[in-house]
Amino acid sequence: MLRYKFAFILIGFGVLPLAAQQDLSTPFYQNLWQANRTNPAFMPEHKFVIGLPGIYNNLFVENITYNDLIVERDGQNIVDVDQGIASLDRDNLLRENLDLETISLGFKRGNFLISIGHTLRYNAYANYPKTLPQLIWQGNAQFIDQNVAFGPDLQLNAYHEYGLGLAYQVGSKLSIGAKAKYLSGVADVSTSRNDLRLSTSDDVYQLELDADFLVNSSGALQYDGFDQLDLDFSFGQVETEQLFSSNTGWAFDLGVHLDLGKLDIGISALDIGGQIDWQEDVRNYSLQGQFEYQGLNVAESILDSQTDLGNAIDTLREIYNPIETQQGYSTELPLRTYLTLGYDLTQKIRLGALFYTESYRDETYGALALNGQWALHPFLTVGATYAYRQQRFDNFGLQAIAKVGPVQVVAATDNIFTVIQPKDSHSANFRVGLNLLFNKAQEEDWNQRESFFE
Amino acid sequence: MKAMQKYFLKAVIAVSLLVGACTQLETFDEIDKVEYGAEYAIPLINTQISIDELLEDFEENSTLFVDPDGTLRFLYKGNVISQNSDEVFAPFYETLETFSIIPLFSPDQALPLYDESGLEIQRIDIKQGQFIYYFRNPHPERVEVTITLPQVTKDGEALSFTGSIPPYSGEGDEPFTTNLFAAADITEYEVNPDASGNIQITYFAQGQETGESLLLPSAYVSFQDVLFAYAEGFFANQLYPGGSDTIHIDFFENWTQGEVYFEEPKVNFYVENSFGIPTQAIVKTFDVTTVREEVLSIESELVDAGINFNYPTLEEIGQTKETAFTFDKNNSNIDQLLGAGPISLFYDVDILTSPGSDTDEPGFITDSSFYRVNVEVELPLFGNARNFIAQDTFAIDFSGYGDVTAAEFKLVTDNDIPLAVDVQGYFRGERGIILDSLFNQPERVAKAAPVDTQGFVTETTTHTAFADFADERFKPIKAAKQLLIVASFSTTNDGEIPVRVLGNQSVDLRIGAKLKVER
Repeated sequence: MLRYKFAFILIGFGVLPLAAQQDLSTPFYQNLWQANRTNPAFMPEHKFVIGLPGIYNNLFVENITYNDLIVERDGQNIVDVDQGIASLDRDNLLRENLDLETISLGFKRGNFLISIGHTLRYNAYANYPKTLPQLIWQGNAQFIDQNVAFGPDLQLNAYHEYGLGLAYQVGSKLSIGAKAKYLSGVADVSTSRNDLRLSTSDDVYQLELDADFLVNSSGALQYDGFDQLDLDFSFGQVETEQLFSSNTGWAFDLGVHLDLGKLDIGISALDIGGQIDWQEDVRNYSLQGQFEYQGLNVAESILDSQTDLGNAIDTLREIYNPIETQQGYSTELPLRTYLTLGYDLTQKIRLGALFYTESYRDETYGALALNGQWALHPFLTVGATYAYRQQRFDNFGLQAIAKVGPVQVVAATDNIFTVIQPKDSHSANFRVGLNLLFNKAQEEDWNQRESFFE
Repeated sequence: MKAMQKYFLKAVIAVSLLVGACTQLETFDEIDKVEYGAEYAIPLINTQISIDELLEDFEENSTLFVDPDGTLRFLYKGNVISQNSDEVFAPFYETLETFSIIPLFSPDQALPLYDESGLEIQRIDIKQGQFIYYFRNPHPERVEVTITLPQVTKDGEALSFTGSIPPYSGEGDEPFTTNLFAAADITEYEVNPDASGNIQITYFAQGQETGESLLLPSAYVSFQDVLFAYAEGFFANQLYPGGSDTIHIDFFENWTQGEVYFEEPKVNFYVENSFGIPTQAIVKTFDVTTVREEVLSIESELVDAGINFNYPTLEEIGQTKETAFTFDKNNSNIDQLLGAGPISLFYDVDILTSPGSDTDEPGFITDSSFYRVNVEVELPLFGNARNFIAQDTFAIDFSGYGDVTAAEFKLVTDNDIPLAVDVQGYFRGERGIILDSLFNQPERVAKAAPVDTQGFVTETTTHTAFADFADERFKPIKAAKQLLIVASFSTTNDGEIPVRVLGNQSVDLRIGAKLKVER
């Protein structure tokens, strides 16, 4: 079963019900309390806000979908590994983020906004070559007389985030904000070196592994042998004992919001300097150097009637046994930036655009989104988003914000196709949230707003 | 409070999962099967087998030697056949034991020491022994008697004793004289028998009153516990049993059929001899039993004529002389015998002393004289073989192959041994039932290295063979417990030309496998 877990992580992780940090909807609703998570300079309309439990999830799986991997045959759900692998490209990216927003509070007094909050965050990143699942499930015979790179770049982690934010209204048009976040790590599995190359000779299939591979783990991975890989990392399952662990770190958010009347501009950078030092239950597994396996040397016992060719497999396992150490290590959080533009077309219709970047593990990913929202009723606002991200154009999102009394409910997705055809989607995104809003500030007359274009 | 936090968080998580794409998660939980088909290529064996390592394990009863030119030879040794002087002196001792009490019927009587035709002992040195005499006096006067053995001397003095016997009264027992209770020690006396093998015993009895020479009708002598230290003379045509032995040759232990021809097989006899006698080995029996249960006898002029030993001369007493003689293809049919798949060699050798007695030189024997005969069979690995088939059984265990449904084995040899190997194997299950064969036909797995006119290898040959076990074949043999390998060996050019197998020759053997796994 452990192998299956590992397989799903590598190939089918994305089809699990998880979410991501590429939040391309919430920043358009800057008065929404959750928008403050994307820009600490965004201020809510109410002076006292309680953020109740909510979820934000974003997932992206490159090249493979649920239906690529799992087929129904004779009434059975069958994982068709060959079909799944066939849909992969040379390199395959998997991103997954799940934020469990437990509770948050916001106090607005004068020009100041003070906020506190707790979020449990899960982050999964896998960039794996197609050759990895090919080697595991299809074997190396297809790569005879080839040198195949198959090392995956992995990071899975979970941590508690405790945030303390401060925003300040500078004059009537500008607000600035900052948030300091204390991080308490729950578990982590991540590679810090991932160069693995396997050569299979065309002679009698002698193997040569050229390795510079290091995987670190804190409370998640245990390797006790070739067949004893124990991965104890489950998204959404939280040990409350880990609320404050020895795996600590800090991250900082900075934001600016410029209100130019009907036009407003927001700029933010999130998780600046974000890093967690992992110290608890640390295990490092490394493979470094060239490991050759030529076959058993059985000259001494060639006439021994007890020679057992099965020993070859055992020896193979021994040769490729990684070295285990317990050295603490650090991991960095993705650095995210938002540039948002909003324009109030009418009193009830607002348009917006967003440019998003994320820098992580030496790669930078970008996304572009357009938004339109309509205040249908004083109690209901709906919106739609169209986005381009991860070289895909099929991202059409819907959002709805309802307010009854002090209770505000938000439901949003960046990709409605996930809901319609979840098994053929490469991404999944949604947010649900619940807020209690008290003491609304006096609303500005829309008609009195300056028009940036006039 | 802590418990509340815990429950609260769990509630949050539960809600979260419900709101998410729960349908897909449930589907994952309901996965019935994982299907994949893989083919793994792994090396199994990569080894170098040198001839000397291989043959040291291959042969248990032999010693492996390397000639200066590198040629290997098996040496099978028989047990040592040995003989010492006891056998030669035995007739003399028998004579003395037969006549333990010798009556003297006359004052001058000959005592025959031996009765062997061809023997002519000129000198015997006594190592130990005692001499006893006994005379009774029937005469009415005192008698003085002197007994002398003129041919038994020490320092030139003959063995002689004198005694006085009281007169006989006419009643009762006759008086006597004897040294029975104080026997004379004759150690270090020298005996010089005459040409007939006799020694003279004389006595002179004289009446003390009449002065006349008298006869003593009751006169006896005896030699007790006599052992010889040395004998000298002629020992013509004395045939002594040498001994026999069987040499077991396990080279062909696993043979089933085929031919092996050794170019230069030899059987060596090594003799150590300290008898000072011209001696000849008489090969009574020299039979080879073959794997086909035939018994073949050696044919050689050496067998017919006998083989003479070297021996020390009278001036070389105490020395040991060595003699070596060899049966080879030039003086015998040994190559045919050993080319027929010998499994044992039985030989029975007698010893003939001074054959023909045509020598004027006397010989000698000492009490420490001996001869030892060592027999060796040499099988130099220089020759040719054709379809020399051997078989052996190996235990196998496919239990570690788990989900493997098919396999293709690849065998590569880099061979600088002038032997080609064709192999067929049979997988056996419980109770030895054959489940399948390794190949459809016997498959060549190693090509013989080419050789020059002297039989030496000129270059290495590489050969590749495959054994394919598709799904339908592999499944039954997973239950196999044994692999019976039948190997056919042929020297270069299918055994047409002789080759030399050298100790430094080797074969690089590499086996890999493609294993198919399907689930």
